[in-house]
Amino acid sequence: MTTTLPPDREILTRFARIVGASLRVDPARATPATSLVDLGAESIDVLEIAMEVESEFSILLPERSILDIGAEVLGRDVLATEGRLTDEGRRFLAERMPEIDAATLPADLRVADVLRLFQRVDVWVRLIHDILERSPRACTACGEGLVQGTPGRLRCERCGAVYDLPGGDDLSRDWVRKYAAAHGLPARDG
Amino acid sequence: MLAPVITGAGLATPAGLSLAENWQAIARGRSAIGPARRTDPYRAVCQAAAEVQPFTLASRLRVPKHEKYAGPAVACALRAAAEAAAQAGVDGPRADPARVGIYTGSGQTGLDVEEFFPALTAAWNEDPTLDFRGLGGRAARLVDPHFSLRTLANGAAALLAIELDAHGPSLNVVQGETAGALALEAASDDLAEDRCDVALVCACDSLLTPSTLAAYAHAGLLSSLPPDRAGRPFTAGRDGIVPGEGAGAVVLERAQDASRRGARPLGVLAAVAVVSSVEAVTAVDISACDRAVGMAAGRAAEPPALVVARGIATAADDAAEAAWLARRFGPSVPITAFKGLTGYLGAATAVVEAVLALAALRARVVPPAGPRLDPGLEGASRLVAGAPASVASPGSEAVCVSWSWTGQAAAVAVRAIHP
Amino acid sequence: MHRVVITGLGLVSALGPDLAAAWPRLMNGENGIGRVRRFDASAYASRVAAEVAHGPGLNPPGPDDPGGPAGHARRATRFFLAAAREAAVDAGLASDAARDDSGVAAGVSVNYLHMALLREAWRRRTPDGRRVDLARFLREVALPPGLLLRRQGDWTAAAVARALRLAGPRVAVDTACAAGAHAILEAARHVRRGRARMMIAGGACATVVPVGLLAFARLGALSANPDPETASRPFDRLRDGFVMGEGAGALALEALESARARGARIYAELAGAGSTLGAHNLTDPSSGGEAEARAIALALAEARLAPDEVGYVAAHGTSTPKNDAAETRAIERALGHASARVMVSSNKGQLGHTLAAAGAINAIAAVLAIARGEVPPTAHYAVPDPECGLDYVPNAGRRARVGAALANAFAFGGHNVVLALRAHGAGMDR
Repeated sequence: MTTTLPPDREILTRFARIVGASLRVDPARATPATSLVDLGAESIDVLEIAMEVESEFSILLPERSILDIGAEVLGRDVLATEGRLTDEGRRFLAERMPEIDAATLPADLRVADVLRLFQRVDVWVRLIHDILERSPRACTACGEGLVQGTPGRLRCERCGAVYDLPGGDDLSRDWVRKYAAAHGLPARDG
Repeated sequence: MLAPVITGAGLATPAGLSLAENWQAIARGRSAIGPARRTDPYRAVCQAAAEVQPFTLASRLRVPKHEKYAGPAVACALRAAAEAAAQAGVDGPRADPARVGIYTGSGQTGLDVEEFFPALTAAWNEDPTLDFRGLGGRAARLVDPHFSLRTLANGAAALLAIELDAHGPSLNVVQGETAGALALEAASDDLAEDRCDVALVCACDSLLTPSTLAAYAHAGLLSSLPPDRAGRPFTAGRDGIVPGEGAGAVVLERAQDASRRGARPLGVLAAVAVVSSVEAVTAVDISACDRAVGMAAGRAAEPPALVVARGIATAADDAAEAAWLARRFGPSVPITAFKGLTGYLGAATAVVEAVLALAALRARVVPPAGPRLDPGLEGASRLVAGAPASVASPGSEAVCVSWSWTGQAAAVAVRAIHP
Repeated sequence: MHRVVITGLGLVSALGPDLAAAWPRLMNGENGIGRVRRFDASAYASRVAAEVAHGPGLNPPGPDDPGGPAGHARRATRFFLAAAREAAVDAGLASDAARDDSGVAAGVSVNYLHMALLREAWRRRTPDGRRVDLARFLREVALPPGLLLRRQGDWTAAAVARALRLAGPRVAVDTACAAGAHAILEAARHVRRGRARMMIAGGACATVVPVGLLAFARLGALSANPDPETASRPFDRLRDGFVMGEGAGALALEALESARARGARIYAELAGAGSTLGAHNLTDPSSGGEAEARAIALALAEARLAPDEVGYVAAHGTSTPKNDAAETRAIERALGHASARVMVSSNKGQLGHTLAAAGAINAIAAVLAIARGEVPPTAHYAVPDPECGLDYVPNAGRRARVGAALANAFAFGGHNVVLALRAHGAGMDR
């Protein structure tokens, strides 16, 4: 495992390979604006891809969607009601997925359609990048790279030091709290 | 029973990935039993196996990623069924998918123990008590989410429905060797009762998993002979079965429907008879087999053209079977067996052997059960050995015998329609 | 062709070791789901289940018990044996001499290796940790004598046939969650076509084991709700997956002439059935419930029932977001205007999803709705879902005259089976 953060184009290549293997499609079809759903992914395929991504990049992905965690931290009906995004929800989404031009989204955006957007290749790549940035990559004691031990835990091969990976949901929660603080929204603690 | 016609047939077995390949090998007495390769780690338990040669599936599927759901048995089922459907001309778009039914026989839904090893290792590396409590949490992420679906016993039925666009009735029987016979019977009944117009019947299995091999080994059923002698029925020194895998498929239709659409049937499914015992288990019950054969073959006016014995190559079952068949059928009825050439195919057996029997009738050739039979075996002289025999009455039926370990005998009778 | 009637019932479930114990509790809305007791599942994604407590005939076989009919029996087989015995006794079926005019049809599913054997296999893994050293496994582990039989799906059917001396037609069906319903359909076929006078048919399941909970949770199918009182909530807006249950259901199916000739009590007639394939993917219902609706329509047509004659539907109702919505759509499509008045309930709120047994348990519910005029509730129903707007008999069972009822079973793999039951003349349960 390298100690430096891989550039996004490398993340994309490695991710596309995983997608190609899982969905039995040519990895070249996993272009940034393509949603995995359009490549034939069903929810179980997304689970498998997530498993492979965690293994490939030595990270832990969130288990719940950012909207669910948003609801948990900000309260129900703040981001979405009756299956549709609120204005706050649209702003939330625009910040969470800067690669999508919010102006191109329909006015009346359904939650189901948002979940499809989350499956865009570029959204995945940026998520992987963000989590890698916040995950240990090098041993702080001796500078060696880290390897996977048991799931969620990395180990330094030289000195044996152990590092727990941050949970994906915890990282999401941190992001939502920062968003709340930046926009003056009340947030639940804990 | 309505005698539906067989308008398509397909095979994917260790002897070949198509009916033609299988027949070529079997007619020449070329056994597919070889050294265990994929099951090499288990070689101390079983050095001979009948393995299907690897083939790519994804490119042949309507939905390529369904390959993920297909273990070896299901992959063989998809292959064999595609061949049968193509031959019958029912693989294209159709007017009414709701009138196509899928009837399968399969092995178990079960645990492929090794699938769970990475998760168990993660859970138990730090837990000397080996408690399953630890399988929760992070260790669970090491289990392939597709596991449950990939190991569904009805996986073949489900994927065949998608591949062949079949929306009609369905069934999956888990019944060991007799599974295919029960699937054939159910399909015939549904055709007779007008619940469907086309019935795809497919039976598949793979014994080459550790838990299955362990069960067979524990029951003393596996041969310990080297590959060139293991699993050869009715031979001297035979000591058990060679585990294998594969699938057989047929398309059944009512005769008038087939002729109305201009299909050219290969043959007729003349009869299926099933006899269940409340006493016998594992070792074959000859009286049950005799009753089944009597019901299946007894309706025909003339004796069968060919009898396919089980020939599982255990010492006792083969002896009982050879003696019985020699008594039951006159000298004009050739008797053979296929498992020395295909290996032991579990739930795939009844359909695979019916298809091979049909091929034999159409070719008018009875393949030998093996090169040299045990001369001390009562009835050995009645078995076709060494060289093929010819089918004296190609218009008559072939009868195949199967037996489930849990105590059920089945006989399937087929008749060829010659062009 | 013979008409097929139901003359006996048997049930093993989380609400009791037999039907007499379980039915009043089911009607009362009592919950059979609790925290998993058989092992420590506190760290699992799904921690609740509907488990069967030990009872007569259900205890694990003792060490000296290898030779009896159930001696080689796994837990699911023992459940089916108990339910089948109950149904046979209920039907007045004597079991001395072997008879080949009566047989067994069993719905079975997941047959995992015993967890203890899985552990022993892991302990004998190869150095790379990926395979089992089979030779060591066979040499060192004390394997049950009936291991081969226990690995056969049809042993469940055979064990019951041996115990009850039924040498007639025998079939074991594995179509996942539709297996129990398919077994009943197969049994009916044999009776209808005169191959059997009577068939004991149903299904059994015992998947509340570590690997079972893990594998199905991994699939995303199980509820993650740790509260046993709200985890299984069919048709409720907050439903999030099914809760695993164990148990068995068995029915005695009999030719009408045979039942009449011996003066048997007839619960109801199995008047029709529909079997269709969704052919869509392995997990989801068909789009708009089309294939499920077709199964209902076929069952009604064979039973010669008009939609407004159906008083009750024993729904598949797994408490997954997709099934319950699609099933509602299917009922609406198939019953049309009559769907506004029909009662629909799912016992999975209290019994969990018993996979291969579910279709048989639903058949029992449909039969008793007709025979006793007792309609079991859908438990834990609190928040209506705009997509599910039928009368789900929420939380409390109801007394009503039901002349005809349906039992649904919609399975992974796209198998859909619907059984149509109809009141039979004056033959009501005494």
